[in-house]
Amino acid sequence: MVLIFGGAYQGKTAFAQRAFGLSPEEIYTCSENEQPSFSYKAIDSFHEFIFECAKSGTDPSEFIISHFDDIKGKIIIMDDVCSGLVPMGAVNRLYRKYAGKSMQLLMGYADEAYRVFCGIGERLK
Amino acid sequence: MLALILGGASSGKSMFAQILIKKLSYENNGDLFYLATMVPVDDEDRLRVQKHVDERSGWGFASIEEGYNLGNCISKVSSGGSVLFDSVTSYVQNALFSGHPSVASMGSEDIAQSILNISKACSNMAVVSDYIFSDAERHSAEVENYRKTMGQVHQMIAHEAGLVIECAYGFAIAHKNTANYPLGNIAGELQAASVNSGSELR
Repeated sequence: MVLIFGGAYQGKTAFAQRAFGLSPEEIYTCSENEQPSFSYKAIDSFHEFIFECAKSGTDPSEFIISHFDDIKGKIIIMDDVCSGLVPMGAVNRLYRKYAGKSMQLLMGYADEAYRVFCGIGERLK
Repeated sequence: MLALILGGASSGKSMFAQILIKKLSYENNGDLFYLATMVPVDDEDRLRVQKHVDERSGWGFASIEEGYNLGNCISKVSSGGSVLFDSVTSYVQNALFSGHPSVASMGSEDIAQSILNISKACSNMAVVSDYIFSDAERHSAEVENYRKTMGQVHQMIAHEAGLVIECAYGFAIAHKNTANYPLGNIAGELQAASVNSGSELR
């Protein structure tokens, strides 16, 4: 599994496309009220799924652990949302906590991990 | 050389940029310019500007204040000069929220280009901006558009830059140094300037 993360608007998806030769059709983008689909090579905006989990108070760690076999071999792209001020709302605070925990879990599973900064992808693992 | 220097609030990015641009201007014996894009609107802003002016006193900067039409700055900088551009943050803010006719209809590419045009009119430019992309708040569409514009402008400047620095975690991290700038030259002064914050160069 490959983990690609970084702040919002850093060019993470474009980096994933460049580095792994992905076409847009091979990327699933997470959106509200949906579980990620694992029939694509890459799962983008994984933080949106985590936000959904925060809304319902469900720890995404359980989902990640139970879908370990589905996640193997995938490219997961997500925003790092853990380096800002403490959010005002309880849901956003839970979102931040879940995102950090999920990123640590995924980082543990990952064979390769990259942080993207200003369009520049740097390999951390 | 064009350098992009990013960081959060009080991350040491301004001091890094000041030391870098001063060194660069020494190296080619050119003029030193400080281009301020923030347009002060109240006493708090004016106090902040004065603090920055005081910090720079004795460094030899000629100040240029222009928050809207950066084209006006092209004739004010010299071709051998070194410019500290402070900052993308306030310039994008002016472009998106001031309604000033010089900037009102500008998109990310126009904004990045107007900044890059100044770098082409001088020898060296250090561009300072804020890293505002890693919080968990769900923002309004207006604020989200501001962050998106900032992110896109940063990527376009980083693409052209020979040096991209992130000031964070008490370090200045070089994400790109295709200019092969000897960053060791800055380390000593950066440490001396930031003994209180404990910044280092990595």
